[in-house]
Amino acid sequence: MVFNSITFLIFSVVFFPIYFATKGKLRLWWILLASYVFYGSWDWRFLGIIMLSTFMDFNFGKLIGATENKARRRTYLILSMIMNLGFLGFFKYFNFFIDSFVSLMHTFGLNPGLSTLQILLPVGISFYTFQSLSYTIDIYRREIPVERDMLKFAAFIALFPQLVAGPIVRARDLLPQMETDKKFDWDNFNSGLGRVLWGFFKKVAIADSLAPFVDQCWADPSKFSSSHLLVGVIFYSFQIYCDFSGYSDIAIGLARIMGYRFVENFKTPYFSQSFSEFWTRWHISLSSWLRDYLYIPLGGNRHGKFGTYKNNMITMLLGGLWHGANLAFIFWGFLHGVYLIIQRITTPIWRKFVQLVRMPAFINSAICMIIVYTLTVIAWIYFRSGSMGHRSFSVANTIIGRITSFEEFSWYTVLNKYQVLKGILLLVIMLAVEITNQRMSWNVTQLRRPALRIALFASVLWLIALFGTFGSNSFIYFQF
Amino acid sequence: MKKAIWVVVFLGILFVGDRFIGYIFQQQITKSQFRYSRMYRGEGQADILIVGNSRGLNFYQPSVEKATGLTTFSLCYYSMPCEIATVLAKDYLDRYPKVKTVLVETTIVEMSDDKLLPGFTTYMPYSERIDSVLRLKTKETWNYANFSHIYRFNNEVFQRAMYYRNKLDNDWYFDHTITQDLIDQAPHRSVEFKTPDSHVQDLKQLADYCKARNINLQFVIAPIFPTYTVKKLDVFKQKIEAATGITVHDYSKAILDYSSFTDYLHANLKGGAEIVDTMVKDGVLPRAPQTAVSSR
Repeated sequence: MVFNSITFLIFSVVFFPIYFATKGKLRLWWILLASYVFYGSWDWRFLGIIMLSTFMDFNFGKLIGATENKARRRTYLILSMIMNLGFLGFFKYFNFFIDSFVSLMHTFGLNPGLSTLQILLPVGISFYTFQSLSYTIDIYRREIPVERDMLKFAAFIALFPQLVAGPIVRARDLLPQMETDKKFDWDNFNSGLGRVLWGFFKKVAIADSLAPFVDQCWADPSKFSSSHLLVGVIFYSFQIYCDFSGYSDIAIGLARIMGYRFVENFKTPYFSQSFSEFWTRWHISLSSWLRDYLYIPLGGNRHGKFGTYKNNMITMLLGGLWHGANLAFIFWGFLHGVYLIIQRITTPIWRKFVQLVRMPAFINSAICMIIVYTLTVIAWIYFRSGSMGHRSFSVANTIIGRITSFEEFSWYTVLNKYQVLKGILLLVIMLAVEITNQRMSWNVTQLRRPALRIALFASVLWLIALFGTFGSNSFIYFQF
Repeated sequence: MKKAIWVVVFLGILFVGDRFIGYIFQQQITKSQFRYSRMYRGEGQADILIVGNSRGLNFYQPSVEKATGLTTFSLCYYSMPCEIATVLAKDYLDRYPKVKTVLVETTIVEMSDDKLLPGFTTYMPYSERIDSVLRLKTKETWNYANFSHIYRFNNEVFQRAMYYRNKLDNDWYFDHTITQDLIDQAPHRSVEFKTPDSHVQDLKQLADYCKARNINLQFVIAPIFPTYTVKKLDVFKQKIEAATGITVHDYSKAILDYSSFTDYLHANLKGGAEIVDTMVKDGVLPRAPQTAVSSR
């Protein structure tokens, strides 16, 4: 059941009145039941994994909390990690590692005779695994108390708005909010609904409108001119942004209507002036998870220059691998690791240069933004190719090769100009709203004025009616 | 109570706004210089009507007008679905019964682009025939288009109509020459034109409609790249001829010069002009009396 479907509309119409009509345990049961129905609609067999993962982590949490013995605490944590990462490893990476191992053996002239399995990837496993894992780690670190209520813990893990594609909401943020029954609140409803509508606009009007143009470019890049492909890769950078941040907006908005506050997942990331800033503005819940549970435990920037480079690289490589079992995703992570390292090396030199030539601040900002955006787009080319199996690198390299050749580089060789003009128009609308939102906080302050709220809601709905694609297209991040 | 009033006001504004914006868009469509707008507005009178998909665009109007000396109107559109093409042709003939010749590029029979079909919701208010085709073929879209009038304009056809709001759409032709890469691959590539019964019936209905009104109807197959294989083209032709009783003039192999093509299925401007000249010589396309005299 995807958010952009009639089924979900019916689901919401049933869910919310009962949610607000119930209290205490009954409400938690209702959240759990509804969330399992939501999740089971993909494939009911996946429910077994999430139930097992929930049950085990709940009990590992209790076991860790019940003892002061350091070795035992560590053992229970390791068992929790083995279980969670084991599920993830088996369902997501088993075939990838078998394939890679067989290829490696072939290079040495050996034939190990191993074969891959027909494994279905449970939707959202990467998200709820990390969410559940952060709970046991936080208990081990004594940062949060043990949750004694199994029902509440299960409802926290399964809470449907964030279940399949995040944001990765941590126990320390959400469990305390579930202590009290949230009453229906008009302010929450209005700001939540505003967020949901904006998320829908980004998904069905922008991301799904850009998708056909982008898909065409990746299907056979050799057929298109350099300018056409350049438009295609720029469109992809916005397609993935609108698709994923649109999902996050809907999730955050739905949670807001329920009375919960989720962490923000995106903050206009393409306006970042450095890669370290980019990672505080793009998929924030994942990057902060990797920072807190991987980068800092590895030593962060506490072990000298080369130690920091190494930790940056390991974090980004694993961040790439988290997205999918393909070398192209790992290479995407590698590129971001390289970017971060180069940034650390070049920043002091750049600053001196800026001072020396007395470069105005806005020019400096613009140059940094353009560089960060361009390099991010290059990395996206590999990322987009990651789902194309063995062709991923050749497709990505063909696209980059053709764009940089500047062959037939002109507006005339850009095909489907109607799609391009429509895409540009929608991106201008989206950027105008998101940039002004930073100053005016549409969702917090402006929406309290009824007249303005009505005008904004109606405008977004009209825009969705005019530009939306209503094919219940799946969200890109469901595959991760 | 106050909240309930705001909700009602919101829903009211949403509905009225939808109808108002839909009305504004429809006014723009009516004023557009796009081919279908001109046709429904009453500015499409011509001697020759061309019906087809992108292959019909081979018969570029200025080339046809130059070769025949007659006015020409094209209803062709990229990936035009057969059911819409025949409906548009009938709408045209209802409004402009003095047409001398209707030229149909018959490979349109195989086209049923589910993505493009809903695009014609834009012209639903102008044609009962389009309305009924959409109700039959894409019921969901038809429902949405009646629920929201803005939604009628959520498509490529509307965007093209807006693009041609103030300029004529006579720049639809293929100006590229086929690449060497495609030429090299051509002998290894092939196509088979399908003949779905329902689409053949659409053509038959158009043929019957023209016969009843004494309108000269010509079926043709536009040029195809010489080394590119078309499978079972004879079967394709026979099926249409048997159903409609009209001869299909096959120009698929009439052009042998590679430089006259844009790709395997489309002649470029040069190739288009060549084939139009051939069709005039063959009598498939009529010639204006003074042109006929002067060319002698």
